[in-house]
Amino acid sequence: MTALAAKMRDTPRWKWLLGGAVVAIPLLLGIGLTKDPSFIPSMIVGHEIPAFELSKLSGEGQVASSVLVGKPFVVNFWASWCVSCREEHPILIALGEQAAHSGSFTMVGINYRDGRSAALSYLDRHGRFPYPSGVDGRGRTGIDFGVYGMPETYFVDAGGIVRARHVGPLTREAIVKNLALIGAQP
Amino acid sequence: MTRLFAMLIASLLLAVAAQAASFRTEAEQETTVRAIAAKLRCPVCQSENILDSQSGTAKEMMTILREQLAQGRSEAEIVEFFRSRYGDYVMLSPPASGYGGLVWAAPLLLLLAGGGAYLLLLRRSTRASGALDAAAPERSPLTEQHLKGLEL
Repeated sequence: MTALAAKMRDTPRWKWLLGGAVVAIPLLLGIGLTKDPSFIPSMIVGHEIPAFELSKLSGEGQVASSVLVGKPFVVNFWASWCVSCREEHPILIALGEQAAHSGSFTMVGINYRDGRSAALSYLDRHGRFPYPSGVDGRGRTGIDFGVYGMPETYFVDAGGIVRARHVGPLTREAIVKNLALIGAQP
Repeated sequence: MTRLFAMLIASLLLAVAAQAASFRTEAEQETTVRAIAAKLRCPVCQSENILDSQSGTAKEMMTILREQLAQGRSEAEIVEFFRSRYGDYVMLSPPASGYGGLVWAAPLLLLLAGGGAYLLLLRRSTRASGALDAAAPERSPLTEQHLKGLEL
C-alpha cells in the first residue's frame, strides 16, 4: 500500500495530465454520441404562445389561439406527408376524446404545410380527430412556433404560457407528464 | 418641332435612367437577401443555409426575409426574428456572446494553455540540464586531451 502511494507520488505530473486527457477526451466524445445533433431546444417553452388564427380544415370558422387561452390546451402539428404522424394518430384520437370527456383541457390540431384534399383523405383513412384542425398551408405558424421536426406537440397552460414541447410521436408517458405541467387532469 | 423632339428624347432618357436605377436597387436588395440568407441555417436540414436549401420551410423563410427587408427591417432585426423562434441554432456561425462565445474562445484558450505548458516544460528542462552542468565533475585530463585531439 505504501509502495503504491510512493509510486503515485513519484509519478511526474505530466503523466497524470496525459492520463487524465486520455480518459476525459473519449468520455466527452462518448457523451456527445448519445446526443441528437439535430435536436433544437424550443425557444417558446416558458413564453407566451405565438398567436395564430387559421381557417378550419373542415367546416366553417377558424382555429384561434385567443379563443383557446383561458383553459389548458394541447396543440398538435401534423401532416399527411409525415410518416411518424401515423404512429401517434390513435393516441391523438384517444387524447381528443379524453379532452372532450374530462373538460379540463382543450385540444387543437394544426395541419402543417399540407394540401387540403391530401389532409382530408388522410383523415378518412386513419380516422378523424374529435377536435378541429387549423390549416397552416405555408408553414408560417409553424415557423412562429419554431417547428422543425414533425410531428410536434405543444402543451399550453390556462394563462397561454407554453410549458412543454414534444418532438416526435406522442407517447402515453409524455402525455401524462406534460398534462400535469399545464394543470390538466389526464 | 425641334423643341418637342428634344423634350421627347429627354423624357425617354429619364425613363431609361429611372429603370436602370430601379434595376440597380433590386440587384442590391438581392445581394442583401443572399448575404443574410447565407448566414441562416435551415432548421429542417443538416447544416445547410436557407439560400441553398430546397426545403419548403427554408423557402418560406426566404419569403419572410424578403418581406421584412422590403418593410425596411435591418439585418439584425431579421436575424433576431428567426433567433427568437429557433434559437442560436438558426445561425450558421454561433454568436460571440453567451454560450456561443465558448466555441469561439476555445481554440484560443487551448492554444494558450498548450503554449504555456510547452514553455513551462522547456524552462524546466533547460534548468535541469543547467543543474546537471553545474554538478558535473571537472573534466579529467583524459577528456581534455581528447578534446584537443578533436580540435586538431
